[in-house]
Amino acid sequence: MKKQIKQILYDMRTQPLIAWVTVIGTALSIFLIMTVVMIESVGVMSFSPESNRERMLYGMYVHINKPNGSGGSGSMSYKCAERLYANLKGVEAISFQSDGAERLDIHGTTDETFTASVRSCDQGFWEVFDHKLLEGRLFSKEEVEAGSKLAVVSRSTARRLFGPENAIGRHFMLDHNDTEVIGVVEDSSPLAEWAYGEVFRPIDVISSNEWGGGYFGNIAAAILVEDGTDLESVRDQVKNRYAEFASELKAEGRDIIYHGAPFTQQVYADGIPGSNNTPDNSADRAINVAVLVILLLVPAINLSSMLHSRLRRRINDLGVRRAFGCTRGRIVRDIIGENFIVTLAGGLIGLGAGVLFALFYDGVFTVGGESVHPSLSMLLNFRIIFSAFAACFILNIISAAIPAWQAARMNPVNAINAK
Amino acid sequence: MRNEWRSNIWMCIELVVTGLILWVVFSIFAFLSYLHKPSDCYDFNNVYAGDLRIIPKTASSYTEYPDSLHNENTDVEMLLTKLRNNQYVECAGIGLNALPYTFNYSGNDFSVNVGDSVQTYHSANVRCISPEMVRVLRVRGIHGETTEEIAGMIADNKLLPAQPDYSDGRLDLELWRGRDAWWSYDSTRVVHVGAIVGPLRRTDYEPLRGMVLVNMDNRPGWWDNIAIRVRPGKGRAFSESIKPSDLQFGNVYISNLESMDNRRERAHESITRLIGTLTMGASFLMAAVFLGFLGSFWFRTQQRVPELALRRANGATRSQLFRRMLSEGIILLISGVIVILFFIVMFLCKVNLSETFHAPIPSWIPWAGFACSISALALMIIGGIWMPASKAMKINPAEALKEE
Repeated sequence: MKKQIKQILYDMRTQPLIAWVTVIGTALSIFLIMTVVMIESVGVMSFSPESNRERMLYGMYVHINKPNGSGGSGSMSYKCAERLYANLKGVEAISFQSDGAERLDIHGTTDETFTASVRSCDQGFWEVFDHKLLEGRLFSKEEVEAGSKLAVVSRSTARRLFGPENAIGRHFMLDHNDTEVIGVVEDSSPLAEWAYGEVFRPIDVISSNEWGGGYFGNIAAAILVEDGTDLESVRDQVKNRYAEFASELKAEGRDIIYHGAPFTQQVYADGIPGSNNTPDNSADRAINVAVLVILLLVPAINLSSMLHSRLRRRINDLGVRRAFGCTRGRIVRDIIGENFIVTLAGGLIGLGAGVLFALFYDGVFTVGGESVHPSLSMLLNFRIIFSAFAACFILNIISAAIPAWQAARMNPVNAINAK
Repeated sequence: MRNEWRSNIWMCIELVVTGLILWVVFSIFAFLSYLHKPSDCYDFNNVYAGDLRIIPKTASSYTEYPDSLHNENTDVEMLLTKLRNNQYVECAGIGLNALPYTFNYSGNDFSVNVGDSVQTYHSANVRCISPEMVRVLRVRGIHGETTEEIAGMIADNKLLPAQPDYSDGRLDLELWRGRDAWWSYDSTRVVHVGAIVGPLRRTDYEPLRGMVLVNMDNRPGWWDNIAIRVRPGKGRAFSESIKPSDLQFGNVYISNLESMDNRRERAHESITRLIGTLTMGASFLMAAVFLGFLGSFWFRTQQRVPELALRRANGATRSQLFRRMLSEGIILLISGVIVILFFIVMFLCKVNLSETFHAPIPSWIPWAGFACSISALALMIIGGIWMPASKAMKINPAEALKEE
């Protein structure tokens, strides 16, 4: 290793431009690869308050048709959501909540009236997601069923509503309803699309904006599966319920169409193409793979070409090593090893640049049209760091394998005599 | 170039891959530029827009109406009066799906008897607009009809269609003017066609499939937008002067009041992100080409010092050496361009872009993309070779050949 580092430093001193071109080219490639990987990862990896994303399933829509082709699709009513998702085996907790946070006007004791992201949910929401309760308490099943005008607010929202005063027990106008604050939770990131909210209020289980014969509304289900339970077994149960529901609807001359619900976190992150389509993100995945391949291949071609040229300058020294008994395999390993150190250096710069870019540049992550910045802990995790190393390794292999193999194959006599 | 044939082949492959991707990127940019059509029969400067909402009857702050003469419509009238009394406000109006930069699409079909045939305007986005809203948005007709004339036509319950960007050629709205149109094939629902107006798109990049302006329905609560035109240069003062009480009357209130510029930015957020992502990708590829040519030709210059020195010694000028190096790069580019052109022609022969993307894509778009991608590659190649070529120019033949 020491010899390899000495060789690299020697090359950098004698060929500084080429060395920097190599490092910058690698850094650029790893920077873009890591940006793509980070965007993908943040959609699926667990972080508070969605700390169990690998065990989550999401039930979102229902699609009911009539034989003449007319019908509708959309979010479920509370009754429909209960029919399909309540009391499943192997489920640790389930939350029936609004399908997304609404932007509603709120006004407290300060002069400010502002819009906040309001999440309507039931008591199961607090069991599915791990919001950190700072003060007060969370609402109960009885309060949800009674339609109590209560709310749990986030820390920053409490400050905007009431200033530095204690928020517990105070009242504010939530969408023109007098509402009492019973709890304050820690702020969460909007990237937690199912758990995020600035205000949480009990869901209206009675009406829930029902339409379409009482089947449709604005309810979705977030399901936390028990540790060790297969997600597919839960989905099979839901599929059976769809089949039973279909038999009941047949009597009304309707049909319910199954689109693969409930969905895993990966499927949700890839995108659900509307309420009347089955998710099939193979095309998007193929494009992502193609993008990563291009981001690796194009700089690999450059790096390979430059390495090939660098090795031609070292041809005498490689010939001498071969003459003294160095094997071809050893030469290949040494060249790939040296190149890996340079690639790693460029990769670390690229990773650092990618993290800074994701942390500070607007528009990398957006939720509902608003730019959102992840936290450092979301970005620096095993998956992302491992991806960075893997990218460096693959880039190194692609760029160095052929030139190393060609250099190792050279006849030692010709190599020593070459000018 | 024969000596470096392996390296040249790899560089050619890199140029082909990069060139094809840049072609796609620049074609998309060209297409977006072509699509970008701000609504030119409207004026959104100094306009603030918001959502008009009703307090639910179950809400604690809901106030019962004292009699049947009072309802949400009377509340809206009072709210509009209050807003118009603001010193910074020129005019205010309401509508239903009347504003751009929202993603509502309530479509309907309209048919007109034109001579011997019936022309149908399929799936036109119906925008219900009050005469006051016409004045706020300064709607004009494409044949020079003024805002006041358009407001008068709306007040007379006339139908004002807009020419779609993409039609099958069977629709001629000029023949519609002055005739009666059926709403949704219902001969009892007749509206008279007034002027043809400019399109009011949901975003500045969306080709218009169809749009009509009609008068508001009189039913209480049959609206959802409000727009306020403030006096020029008074936008900030207006924002600072507005209090929450100014935005509510009775059971009706305004939510999400913001400038039309903000609405436009939010509506175009996905396009902006796409442009940003493509720009980053294209910049990366061009940087890769630049660095690749810089590195490769730097080495070549070093390897060819004796050859270049001999050429100088035999009378070649510095600029001849410089041009020689550049021409090698251009030859590589030309080789790559031929392959790129082949792929592009094969693709365009097999794919009808307008059908694939359900949008009017003029035939010059892919060629504009091609020209831009080749220009970008040429620029990067020349930039990458410049430094090594300058270095080659400066070779002192006596020193270089000293050891020979």
